[in-house]
Amino acid sequence: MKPTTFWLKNGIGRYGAVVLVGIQAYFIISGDPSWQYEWELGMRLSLKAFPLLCAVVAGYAAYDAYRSLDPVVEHFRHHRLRWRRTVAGLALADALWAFLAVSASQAISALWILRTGGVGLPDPWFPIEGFASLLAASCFGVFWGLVIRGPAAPPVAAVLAFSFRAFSLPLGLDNLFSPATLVNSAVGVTRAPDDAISVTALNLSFGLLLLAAACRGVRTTAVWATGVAMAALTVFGAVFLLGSQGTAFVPTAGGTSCSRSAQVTLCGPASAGVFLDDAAAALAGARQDLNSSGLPLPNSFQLATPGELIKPGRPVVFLRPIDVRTSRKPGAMAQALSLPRVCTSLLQGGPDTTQLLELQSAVEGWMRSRLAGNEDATAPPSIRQAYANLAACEAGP
Amino acid sequence: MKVSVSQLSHAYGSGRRALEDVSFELVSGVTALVGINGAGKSTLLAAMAGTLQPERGEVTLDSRSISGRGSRAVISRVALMPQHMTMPTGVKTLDYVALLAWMRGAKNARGLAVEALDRVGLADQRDNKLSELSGGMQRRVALAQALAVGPDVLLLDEPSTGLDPEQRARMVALLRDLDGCVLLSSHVMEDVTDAANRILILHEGRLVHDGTPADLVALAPMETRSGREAEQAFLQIIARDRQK
Repeated sequence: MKPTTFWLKNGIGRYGAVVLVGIQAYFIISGDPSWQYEWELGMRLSLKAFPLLCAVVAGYAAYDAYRSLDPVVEHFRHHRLRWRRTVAGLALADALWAFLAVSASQAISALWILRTGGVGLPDPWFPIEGFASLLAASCFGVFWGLVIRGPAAPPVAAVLAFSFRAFSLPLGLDNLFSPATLVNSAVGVTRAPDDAISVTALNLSFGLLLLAAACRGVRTTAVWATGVAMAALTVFGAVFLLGSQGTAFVPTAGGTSCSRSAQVTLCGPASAGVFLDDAAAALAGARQDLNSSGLPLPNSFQLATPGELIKPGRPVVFLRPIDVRTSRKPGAMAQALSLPRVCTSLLQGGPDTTQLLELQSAVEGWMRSRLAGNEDATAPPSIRQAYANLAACEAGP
Repeated sequence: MKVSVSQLSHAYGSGRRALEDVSFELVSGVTALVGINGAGKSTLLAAMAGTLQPERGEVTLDSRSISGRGSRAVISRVALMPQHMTMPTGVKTLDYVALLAWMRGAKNARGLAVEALDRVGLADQRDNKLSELSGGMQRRVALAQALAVGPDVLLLDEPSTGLDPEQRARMVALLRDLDGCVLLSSHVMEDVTDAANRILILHEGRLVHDGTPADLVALAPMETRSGREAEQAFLQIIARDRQK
């Protein structure tokens, strides 16, 4: 029997996984409701639970280590007969159960999102970063379980995992026991590969260091091993992560694509294809409703992408999946159509910034009322004038 | 196959000398190791199993040391059933024996574990958790894990502790059937004389007797009640050693 199989069957990871599913479901459901319309945002929001999840994983790995692993390896410690692989097998098995729990709750939320017509935007780094974090937590738990060797091990490991992460934040190690999180829309953005690799490497190296310390015989050299692991972690953080923002998201590579609906064309990141279709249709519908307003509405738009520089000129719309699928839609459409072009003063500031904002606010208010059916079809002269002023604003290079 | 123990000495941190210049050789068959509590039996077995690094001396198997570089292949031929074996709770019996067999290098670990549990009379307990087994059954699991890989050298530390008479008889019969070299540490003279063809007596870390069961019985006082000759002879050897 291989050790990983043994621990998968005989460790308490299988019970701990149920707890993890519960914790993560709570974080997903109680987070920003936007997650229901955007898969990747849902995933990223759920990652806010990771520091807590990892503390739980460290706790139950420590329990398995002191309760089951220690007696098993007791008589093999000096033999050098596969006992190191047995120690590693426990860490891997507990991490696998945790990963399965995380994946299960993610899959459930994804099904929910797709059922409600949400946008699926897979993040290839999520499972890699997530597993590395869980493995680091599992190794952390195994280490402390073998050091403490008693019922105090699980709570101590859990508390240490939680507090050690907090302790390491000043070192820039934000992503110890946690993949990068994002609390805004993920449309058009993705993990920067370099950062994702750094985060993965950080968690893996931290976990493996602790595992190596545990396999060297932590009972006699507990303090030494812990010191080495923490020192190595600090060095790693200083050398490899210096200047690197582990939480950085960048615009998705893969070019842009445009979606056309009626007279409206909306361009944005190619990865957001399905959403572009929906957003273009929503804009076309709103434009149709405002057709008799007398306003010279534009018919070509650019979808704003987080992290991407907005250039003056062509109208840019800040739309997210939740904006076109909920009661937010009229307001979001009014906001999107109220600015016929991106003015330099609105981007960079200028003497007329306040005035332009007031004009936009007036136009947006009228459009909102019109789309709700509370206004005449034709815009009043003041609104037409305000719109004309906005359309004539400076939008130079 | 030959196991050689050469000038083995060891002391614990408290300064108590557990072994003092112990030397002997073992060949195939069952050899009993007898001694009062604290005589050094468990220390000797641990040193022979490689779980304890003695201060001085060496244990070799067919002239190859069980410690140091390149000892992995040698030590994998030795299995120890320790006197106290903490059983992991929440673990299934068969899985546990199979894992330990795998750790000793077995390829078909699960098959060997099934066979070993069958030999110790625990075939019907395979799927039960270790924590659900009685103390006697756990002792048999400890024996099964040592037997599983068919070691060339089997070291048994008080194997009959906690076993009922039927299981004790079964264990003695099992030991008689084993191939290879068996070193059996026990307090129970009945087990020793029934199973072993050679008896070593350890006292205060020193080897004070080495002979066959017949040799030992012959040393018993004339007035000894029938059936307790070996025990009386053992006590006499210990008493003599104390007087030295």
